[in-house]
Amino acid sequence: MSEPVLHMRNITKRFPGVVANDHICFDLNKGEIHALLGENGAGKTTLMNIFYGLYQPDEGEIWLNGRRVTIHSPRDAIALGIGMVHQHFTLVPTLSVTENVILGAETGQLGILDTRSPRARVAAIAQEYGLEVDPDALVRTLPVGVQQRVEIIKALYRNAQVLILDEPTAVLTPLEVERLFATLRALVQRGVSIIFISHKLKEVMAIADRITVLRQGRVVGSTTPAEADEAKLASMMVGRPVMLQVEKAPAQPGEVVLSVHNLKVMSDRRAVAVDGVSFEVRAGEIIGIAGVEGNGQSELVEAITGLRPPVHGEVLLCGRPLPHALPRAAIEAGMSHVPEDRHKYGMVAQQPLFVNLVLSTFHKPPFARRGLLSLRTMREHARRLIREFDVRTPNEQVRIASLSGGNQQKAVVAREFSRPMRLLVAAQPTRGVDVGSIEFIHKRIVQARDQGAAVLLVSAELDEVMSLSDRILVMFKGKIVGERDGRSADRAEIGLLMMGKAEEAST
Amino acid sequence: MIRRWFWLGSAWPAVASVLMALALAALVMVITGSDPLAAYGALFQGAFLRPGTATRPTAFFETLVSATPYLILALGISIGFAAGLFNIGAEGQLYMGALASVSVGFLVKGLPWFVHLPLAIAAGVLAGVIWAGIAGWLKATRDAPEVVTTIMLNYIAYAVVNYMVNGPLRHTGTAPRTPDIEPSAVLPTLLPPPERLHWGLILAIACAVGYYLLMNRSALGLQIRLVGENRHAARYAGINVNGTYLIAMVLSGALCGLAGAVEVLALYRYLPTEFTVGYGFDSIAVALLGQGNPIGIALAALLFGAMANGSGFMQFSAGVSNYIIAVVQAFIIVFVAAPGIARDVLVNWWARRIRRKPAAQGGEA
Amino acid sequence: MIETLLEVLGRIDYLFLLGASLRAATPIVFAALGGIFSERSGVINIGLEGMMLTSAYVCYKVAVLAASPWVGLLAGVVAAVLIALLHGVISIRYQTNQVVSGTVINIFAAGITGFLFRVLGAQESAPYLPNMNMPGVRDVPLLGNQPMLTWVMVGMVGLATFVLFRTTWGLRTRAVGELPRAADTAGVPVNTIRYANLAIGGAMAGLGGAFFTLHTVSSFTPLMTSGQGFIGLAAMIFGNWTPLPAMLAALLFTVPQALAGQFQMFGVPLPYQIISTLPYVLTIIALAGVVRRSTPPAALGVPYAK
Ligand SMILES: Nc1ncnc2c1ncn2[C@@H]1O[C@H](COP(=O)(O)OP(=O)(O)O)[C@@H](O)[C@H]1O
Ligand SMILES: [Mg+2]
Repeated sequence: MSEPVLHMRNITKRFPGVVANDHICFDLNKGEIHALLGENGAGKTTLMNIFYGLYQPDEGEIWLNGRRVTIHSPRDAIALGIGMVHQHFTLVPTLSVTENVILGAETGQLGILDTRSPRARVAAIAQEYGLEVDPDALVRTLPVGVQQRVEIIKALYRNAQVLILDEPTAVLTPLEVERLFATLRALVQRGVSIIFISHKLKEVMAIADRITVLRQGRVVGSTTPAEADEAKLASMMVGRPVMLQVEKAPAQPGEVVLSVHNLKVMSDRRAVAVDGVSFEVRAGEIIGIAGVEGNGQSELVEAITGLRPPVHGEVLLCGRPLPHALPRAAIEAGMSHVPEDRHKYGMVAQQPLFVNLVLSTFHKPPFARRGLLSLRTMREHARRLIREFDVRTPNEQVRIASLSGGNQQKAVVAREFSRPMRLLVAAQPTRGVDVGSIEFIHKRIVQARDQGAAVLLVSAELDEVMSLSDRILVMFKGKIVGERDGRSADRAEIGLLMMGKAEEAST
Repeated sequence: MIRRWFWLGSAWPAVASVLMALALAALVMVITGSDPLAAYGALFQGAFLRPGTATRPTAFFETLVSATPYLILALGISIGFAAGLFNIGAEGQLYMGALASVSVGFLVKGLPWFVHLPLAIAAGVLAGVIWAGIAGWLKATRDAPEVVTTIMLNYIAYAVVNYMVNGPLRHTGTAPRTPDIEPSAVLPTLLPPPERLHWGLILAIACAVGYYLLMNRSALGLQIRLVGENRHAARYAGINVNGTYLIAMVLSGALCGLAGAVEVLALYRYLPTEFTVGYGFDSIAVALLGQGNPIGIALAALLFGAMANGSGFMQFSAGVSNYIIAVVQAFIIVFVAAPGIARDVLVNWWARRIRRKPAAQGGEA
Repeated sequence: MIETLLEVLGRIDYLFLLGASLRAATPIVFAALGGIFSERSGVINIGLEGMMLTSAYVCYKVAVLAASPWVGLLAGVVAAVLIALLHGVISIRYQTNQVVSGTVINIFAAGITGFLFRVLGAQESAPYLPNMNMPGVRDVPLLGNQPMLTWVMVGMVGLATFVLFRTTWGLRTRAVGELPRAADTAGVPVNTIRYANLAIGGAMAGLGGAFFTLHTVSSFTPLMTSGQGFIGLAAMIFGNWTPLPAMLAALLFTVPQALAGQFQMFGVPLPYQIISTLPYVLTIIALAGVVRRSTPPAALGVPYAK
């Protein structure tokens, strides 16, 4: 066994109210793929951000190639041969691929930008590792899978010897995951050492040489795919046995609640985002929309919830058309909406929890009469929901920002479920949420269905769509490219549809 | 918790800002060869202590007279702030309010005061509403940034007033100004002459109470705040964000127009070409200093009123230019905007004092 | 009516008109360029007006004291840069809302210059910067001879375009304004870039301020910049944060006023108050028409925290 390239010793990092990393030790051998496994909030990203110089550790040491190093900034990290593909991509959408790659590592005289020779190098790297990409394309025109390749090229362009990939598969289709793994293996062949972060057991088992499991900021153990199995990893990760499958009875679809006819919607950039989509959702069923992010799902949801006027087509709720661009009308008509990004769309961070629980109803009785608020009613309402939805909080008066991600999301779900609900539109309902909260939210969604609500689930997590949906629609480039029954759908086939390969999927 | 009580913890940055600004201005005075203690003493005396005479009003009452427009304007500006809007066009709305009130005040004749006065005030409020409403409407329907449009509307308002006072509304005398308003449109004083303290103060206090109720007790106030703090989430929750912008801007303009009405109906009783250059801008500082809290805004207005009123006596008795208060105000808002500056300066000062004592051991290896 | 209009249109000297518009647009374009640099790096710059005002005063005072417009110009630019850095400290270091910070800068500058003006007085007039003939347009009467700073402005538009789109600095600036995290993780120091661009913006505003006291009139009056910094911001938005279009937008705001001036000269009765409001009215109309279609830098107004 060669000596470790990287050795992190007793790394501790505290954030207000949480110890994100608690005396973590982690090492990486040359030419290996070492997976860092842990559920959301375990502290994986924090540890790697420390290694990459984005955060300074409160305690602990980093040894690289046998030398103790202090990494003050990403600049230092890059100089030390560290490259990182972040969980949220760090590409400038308005710049070209080449410009993104050379940013911060520009060449050229007198400060005048030289893009010609870097462009050739980008092409060469792409060729060598099977990272096909057009060096001149604007990043914002590229699908996320390709953007990820650009991120990897960016690291290799700077001669990274240690490559960190933070949840790289979250945005990929199964086939793209395979391709990524092939690239990673090629890299390892050439002596690059890789830290692979994930919370997905299957992938870790498939790609890692070694696995270290993190839970609540601590290392709970290290193992190898040969020694471990998924069940063991799951219980290490969560600290208790996990129910991996959602239990639900067969759906009993009733009358049509939502029907979408030939809908065409534009994106913020004035491009066609939803292109002639039609479907129906019936009471008592869950329709899941699968698809790689950025294929029009967000715009579709916004059009259905009245947040974005479509340029063509219509949305009927219980047979009646919804007035365009009037979200309140949709809410009054019995629509609940768990938005895809709770920080931006789902909550007002500086307001207390109890206000966030009445965000869409505070103007009406019993919370307001003749325009005057009744804080007491609002607080009582909040206390009830906190109990019912198991929101862990000291009381209803704390700012919602002070809660953990899972509890914030449960609060958003509580608010949306607290109104009479005929249609639930749930977009990425468990993103960035811990396993306990995921289980809870899944259970509540199924329960809503069983009580007769129509549910439209939009998620980039294929497993979530597969396990919850009664019917699955696959969206690709603004179109519905396939429909499958939830019980009999095949994961690989859905994956192909998500890449727009309908012919291959149907054969 | 929606309420933000004006407790000391949240007030300290404002208080520290004022103290640091006074200290810095004192430094300026020392450099320019005057005695800051004498100056501030005179300022305080001139603002609060000097008694009135047969011809001169009592200092404290005059301070209240000066504070009145600051208070009304700053409340208006604060409503905008709460919605995330920067109504830096308070000045223009004030001008248009004054113009409308004076016009109604002298053009309409033969009405009893209880009709004429409210009508004149309403005209001023309406003018402020329209002037701010233009910016609000453009923001709501066209996304036009209110920071720029309200400033542009200021300059247009100056020109309109200038044109009217020199042209159509000019009185027959030599100076460019309008005729006097009818006595029935005068906002009366509270005390006999020479005191000038007037009903505008009562109106201003009523506005502060109304502001409190709006922002802390009403659904509309919560709606405005939600839009100001996260307009995306507000929209997703079914709130009409653009409508809220318009409402906030209209309320803001109503108060600014009212301030203009009060100034001319109570004090001038006619409209000169330029009557308050700067009230609208100083009030932005008052609003920032008051931090959205009605009591804080009232205290800030009192402070600015005191400085405006006391500076004359300071110049007279301590020989320091009354424009030094502009320096004080400039520093105040810098520190209010970035409370961290005051904190860091003070902390560094302490740290250096401590370091000068027995060489402290470095904590880090 | 129509005949007089046609007659006047026939008598207008269009070269003179262009020259007058260019002159009137000079401080506006400088402000727009200042705005472009700071906003391309992600910092909203409402404070340009205050920076211009500060420069106008300092240019005047120092030019008088040193009996040299050049020394005055230098001092004015330095002063505006310092004010810009104050904006940086408040909004970058202390992460105050950038619109608040800019407003604070404006009030601060108005207060300080007003105080200095009243305390130190302003009787003497400052020496002017020279007018210059441009090679090539030298022989064109009325257009060829323009204030030096007007030519500097024209050259600066070209230079700014080059810097923003053809240099390493420009690439980094744009990256920082679009997605600072991308720049940071690529080893580009986000806040340093922002401070530096604010300083560049301050220097531009400083040149714009100099135009008031070293070219237009040779003395200072309080608040003499009269909203031109804000009109510059509108030109910047209208030009979609790009130098050349911003300059054209500035001309759009100033040509009608120059035209009205000519009408007046030929005896068409137009109250001067109305003419004076033209740039303001046009600015509002332009903003109302164009903002929905403009694309500001994505990270504009958002302080960067790791
Ligand atoms: N910048 C930050 N400020 C405060 N808390 C943070 C910050 N970054 C992460 N945390 C907290 O630290 C914990 C670990 O987060 P993270 O490292 O992102 O987890 P993971 O990547 O494993 O999902 C979480 O509780 C998270 O809320
Ligand atoms: Mg993470």
